[in-house]
Amino acid sequence: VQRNLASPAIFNSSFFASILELSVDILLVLEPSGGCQYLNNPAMALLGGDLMEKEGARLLTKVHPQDRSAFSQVLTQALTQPKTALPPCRLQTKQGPWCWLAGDVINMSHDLPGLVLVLLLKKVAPPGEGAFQGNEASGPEKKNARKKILQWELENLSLVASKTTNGVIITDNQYHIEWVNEGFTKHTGYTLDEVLGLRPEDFLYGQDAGRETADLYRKRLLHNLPLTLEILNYTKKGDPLWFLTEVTPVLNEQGKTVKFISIRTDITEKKNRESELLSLTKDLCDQNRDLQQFTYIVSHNLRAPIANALGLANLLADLKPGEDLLPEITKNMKTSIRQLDTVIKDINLILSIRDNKDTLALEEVTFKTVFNQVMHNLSVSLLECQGEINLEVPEGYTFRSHKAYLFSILHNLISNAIKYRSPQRPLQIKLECQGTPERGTTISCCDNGLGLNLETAGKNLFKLYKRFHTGIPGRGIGLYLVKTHVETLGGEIKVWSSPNKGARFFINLPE
Amino acid sequence: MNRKAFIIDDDQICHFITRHLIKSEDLAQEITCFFEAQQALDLLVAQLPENPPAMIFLDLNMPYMNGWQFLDALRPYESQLRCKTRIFILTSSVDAVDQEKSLEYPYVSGYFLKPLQTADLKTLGKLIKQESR
Repeated sequence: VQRNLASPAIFNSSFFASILELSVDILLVLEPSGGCQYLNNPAMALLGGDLMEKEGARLLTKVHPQDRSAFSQVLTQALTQPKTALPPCRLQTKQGPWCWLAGDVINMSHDLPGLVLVLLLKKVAPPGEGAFQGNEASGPEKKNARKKILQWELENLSLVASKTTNGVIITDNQYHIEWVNEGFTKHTGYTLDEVLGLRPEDFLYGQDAGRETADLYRKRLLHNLPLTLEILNYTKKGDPLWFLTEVTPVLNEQGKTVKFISIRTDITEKKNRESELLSLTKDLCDQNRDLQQFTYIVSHNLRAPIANALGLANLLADLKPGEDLLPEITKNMKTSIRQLDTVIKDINLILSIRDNKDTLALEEVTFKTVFNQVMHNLSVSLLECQGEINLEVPEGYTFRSHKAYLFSILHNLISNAIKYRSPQRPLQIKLECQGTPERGTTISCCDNGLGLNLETAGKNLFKLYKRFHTGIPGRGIGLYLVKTHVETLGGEIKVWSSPNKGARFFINLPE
Repeated sequence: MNRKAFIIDDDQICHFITRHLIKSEDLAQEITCFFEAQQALDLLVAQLPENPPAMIFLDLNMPYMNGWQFLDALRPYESQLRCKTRIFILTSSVDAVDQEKSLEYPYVSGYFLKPLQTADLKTLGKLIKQESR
């Protein structure tokens, strides 16, 4: 191994040499005149071996002219004190370019006579803006160039920020808006002047979710973490818009948040598609559940008359001589089979209604005409119980619907009112029909009959083959049909009732 | 020996079949049929603890008060019913869930699918005779 030391002998000891070579720092040993006595390997690699070849003040010649006076000052200082800090200075590397080095100059003359200064240096980043460091420009020239580049960058950045189709909001650290771009105005309808100084939640989030959303924001941003979320906003006109929002905190040198930048992409269309898909899935699930329930109910109601017929057949087979049961068995057998037939007809009817859901041909229907047809069927039974019906409908009111369905709805509601009337008072039915531009057609049927306890019946009221009054014959299909018809027409039905006071059914059929 | 039976079912044909089978197997002499579970419940509670029926045939699917509700209403009388009244579910439901649920009621002694068969009543008769011995 070639050692670069002339003196003193201690540097020739292999023990010290290996320690010095292991060091990753740059180490130089200077004699008091400034001439180099020793360079460790990192120093040789960086600065080149020629420093060792001649004696004399060669190191200073490697220092950048601008740094030279500072450098020699430090060396002079170092002669009088044990340790002197060397500020960043440029030294010329073996390959030519300047390299910034800084470290300590240690005076070792107390320990090692003859040997004076040891320089322990590290490569450092250039002081100030690294990007603008260079040996070609200096002084005011350099400052000017830097300013120009900054200017250029700023112009381009603001061009991007203002012309992008995304919305951009810049707020202070208290979320007060300092700037919005054109994209934001295009999305929401609010201009910079209108929103300056406001907080986004003051006008963007609508009534309900605003606070909550803002709180969510705050919690995450408290930790200076960037945040991405999908958020519902409202435009100046009040239209809902969905945004994918990315909020980035801007930190100062102390790591404190000084601003927030929020970049917002309009994802309303995607959100709408999502919710369409969601409602479609829900529809499918509902229909599936309906069908399952339907199958269950039907199987149960199909089996009941079959079980009866089987039981009766068993009785016939075991009939003992002299028993006069034959007429009654035959009569019951007929009843059972008729019930079976009825259930099958019901299934057919219900399936055909459900089947029509998508292909239903709507026509202009005059409410009064359909009502008259229903009353033609029911007026006798109404008369028999001395009931009264009051109709309130705008003269000549027509709407787009389905005659047969409307007939079935009215027929079932009115015949139910007659069937479940109170024996204690004469029946009063009030039927109202109205058309409104927002809600379409509403039909209300109100009676003063037996009513029912919705707390116990409510869940099952519109279900197939469910019955709620004893002693009054019925199959439990009327209200199920009403609901099926109403839903096939795209409407909904609600009920209010209390026992022994009456019931009110409310139907809404949108246009 | 107690010779009373209740049949609770909203279906008249079921009354006819069950009543006839009970008679021909000579399981009871006094048979009362109910269309409504509530009426049966009222009478049963009135006859407790001295004089309840020996057996009750109970349908599950009935309007107003169904079979389960009837059984739930009997919970407070469980100890009085024990050994005196045997309750048999008699239903047309082929749903396994119903049969499982009936096991939750310790005072339900059996579960029969409609139509009731002579063989069912023969086992049932043996059961009752054994117990009264």
